[in-house]
Amino acid sequence: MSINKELLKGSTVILLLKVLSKKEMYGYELIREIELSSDGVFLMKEGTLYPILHTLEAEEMLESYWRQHDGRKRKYYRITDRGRSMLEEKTKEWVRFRTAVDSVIGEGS
Amino acid sequence: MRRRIEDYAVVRGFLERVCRQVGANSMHDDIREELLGHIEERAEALISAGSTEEEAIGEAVRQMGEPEGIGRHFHAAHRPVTDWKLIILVMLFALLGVFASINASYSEHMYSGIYAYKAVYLGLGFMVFVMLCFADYQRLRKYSSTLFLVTLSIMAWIGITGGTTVNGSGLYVNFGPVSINYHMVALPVLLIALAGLSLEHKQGIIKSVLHGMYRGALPVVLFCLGSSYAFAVLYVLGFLLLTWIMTRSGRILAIASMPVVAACAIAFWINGDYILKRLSGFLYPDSLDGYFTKVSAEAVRTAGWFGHGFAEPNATLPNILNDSTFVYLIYCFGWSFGMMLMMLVGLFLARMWRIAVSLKESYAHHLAAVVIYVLGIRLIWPILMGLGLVPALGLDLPFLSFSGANQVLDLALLGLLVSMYRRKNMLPARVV
Repeated sequence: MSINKELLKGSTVILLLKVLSKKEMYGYELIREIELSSDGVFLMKEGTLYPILHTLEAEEMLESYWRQHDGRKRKYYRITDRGRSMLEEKTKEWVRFRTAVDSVIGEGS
Repeated sequence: MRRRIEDYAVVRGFLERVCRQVGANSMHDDIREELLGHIEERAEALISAGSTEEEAIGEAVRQMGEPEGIGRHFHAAHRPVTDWKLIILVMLFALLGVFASINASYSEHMYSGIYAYKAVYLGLGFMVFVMLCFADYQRLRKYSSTLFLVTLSIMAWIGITGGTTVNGSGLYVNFGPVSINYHMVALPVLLIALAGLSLEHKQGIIKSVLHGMYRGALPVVLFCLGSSYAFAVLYVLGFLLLTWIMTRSGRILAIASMPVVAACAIAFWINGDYILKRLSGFLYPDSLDGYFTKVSAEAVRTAGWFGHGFAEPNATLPNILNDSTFVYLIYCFGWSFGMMLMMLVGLFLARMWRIAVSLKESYAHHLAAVVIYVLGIRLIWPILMGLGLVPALGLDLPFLSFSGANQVLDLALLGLLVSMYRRKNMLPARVV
């Protein structure tokens, strides 16, 4: 199933924050995680994820650091307190939105 | 595989095209390394699924997406950011300062026309401010130890040879028509230098003692030799604050503060009576040392909500250009004006705090702590002093009082803060 691009864009931030709220991850790991847990619905162009991460860092939602692992340098991202409260807020917003859409199109039909 | 993957023209070309869009050169290596790591892992996954190396790398790069678009988005994330809120507040303070000196110059004949000087110093200050906003504050760091040594040497040199006496204080140095209180300048300059000196969390006892002696006690001795006890105390507090922020170690703080406490104790032993009298003056408004507090309280009390009006003369307030600026403004324009000023000061401090918290790099943190400490105490103390809540010290309100050449320094400190904020998103991630 393919999903409209605009719909994807708005939900990327919430997905990234949600996944990072469970564990610190590096970019590739993060994309794999989102792909797997969304049954491949979120197949985005992988390079576009990084500028979003950098933007979230500039907005103080995330922090990043480089760590050597198995002879590889990887850049890890960690959610901040500000990021967590943002996630909470966005989640509430999303649930309200989803409930509204569900009730218009008729849930379960 | 990393070395080889960079040899592929598709990979190099892709990274080139991304980075070409990103204005912040300091971020290029960071971005390149991160994207390279991704392409590499994706290619490895494709190879283990059966592709040849060449196909896999080509496919991995294709999956990244369009390089210019990615680059532009990176560029937006690492653009310099200007903190207009702080800049607007500074402008507002500067305008109020010009207004305050016009008010003072129409009130006393000896001050007539002084606002022209204020405007010139402000202009000079804003030039320095703008220059520093666009400068890279990190370059300052490598001059820290030289700056510290030179400042101490100048203090010692003038202390021995003697400066010029202005307003009964021998702490002034003349540059042509400009006289500068060099202790007033030395306080922030020493602390700025201190912020860039190396101080580690795990340093040994000997280094900590030396830190306390050279960077803590020696400046205190020099301030006290010029009878600047207030600056000595302000320096000590700044020194301890920085030592704590830089090391987060109670042990180092305790060791480093020993020589400092010793220096203070000696100064107090030599001149304790004088210090105590000055410090306790505000508690006894009828004593000689309580004069400032007494006339300030009187001026504030009679002002009412809307004051006595523009440039209303007040013969009792000492030095309405500097020390009594705040009280004199209340005297002329009332409690409502005083409250508005305090609110502005509050907003200004809150904004500086917000900026400091958003900085990520440690040197920037230390510098921001110095700027907030120096400007914060000089904004808050004269206000509390005017309200009779703390001892009267010779401190002028930054921006609002006449300040002379001081305001060039104040604006320079703010320029540093704006520069740090500007570059906060242009720093590569740290390596742990």
